[in-house]
Amino acid sequence: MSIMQIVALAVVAVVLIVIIRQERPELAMQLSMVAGLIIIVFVLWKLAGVIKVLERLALRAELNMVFLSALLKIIGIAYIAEFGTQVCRDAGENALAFKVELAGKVMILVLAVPIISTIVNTVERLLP
Amino acid sequence: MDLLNVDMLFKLAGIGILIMVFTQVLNQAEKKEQAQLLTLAGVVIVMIFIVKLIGDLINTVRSIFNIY
Repeated sequence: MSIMQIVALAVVAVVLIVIIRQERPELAMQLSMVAGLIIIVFVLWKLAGVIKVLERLALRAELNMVFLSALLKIIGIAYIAEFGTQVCRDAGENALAFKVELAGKVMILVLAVPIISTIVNTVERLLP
Repeated sequence: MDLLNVDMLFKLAGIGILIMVFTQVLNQAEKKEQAQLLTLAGVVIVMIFIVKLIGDLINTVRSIFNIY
C-alpha cells in the first residue's frame, strides 16, 4: 500500500508548497524539489527488485550481459536527466532544461553506439 | 532505505514557514536588509539538505542500474 503513502505525501507537500509560495517562491521551489526527491528515491528502491529479477532472467536465457547492463545504464541516465530537466523547468529555466535534456540524449546515444555497431556487424554477416 | 522519510519534508516545510513569518515581521519593522539576509540563510540551509538528498538519489541510481 505504498501508493497511499506516496499520494498522501504529495498532497501534504502540495499544501505546504502553496502556503509558502505566496511569500517565498524560492523556498517553495526547493520544497517541491525535496518532495520529488523523496518520492523518486522510494520508487527506485522498489524498482531494484524488478531489476534483480530481470537480471536473473537474462542470466538464465544466457543473453549477453553487455546488452542488459547497457540497457540498465540507459534507463538510469534517462531517470536522472528527466529529474534534472523537470527541476529546471519548474523553476522557469526552460533553456537550461533543454540543455540538460540534450545532454541526457547524447549520453544515451554514446552508450547505444556499441549496440548499433553490433547490429550492423550481424547484418553484414547475414548478407552474402 | 525502504521507507518514505516524511520527516525531512516536514522539517524543511517548518523552516520555510518559520522564515516566511520572520521575514514578514522584519519587513513590518522596516528592516529590509535583515529580511533579505534571513531569506538567504534559509535558502542555504535548505540547499544543504537538498544536496544530501541529490547525493542519495544519485547513489541509488548508481547502485541499481550499475553505472560507475
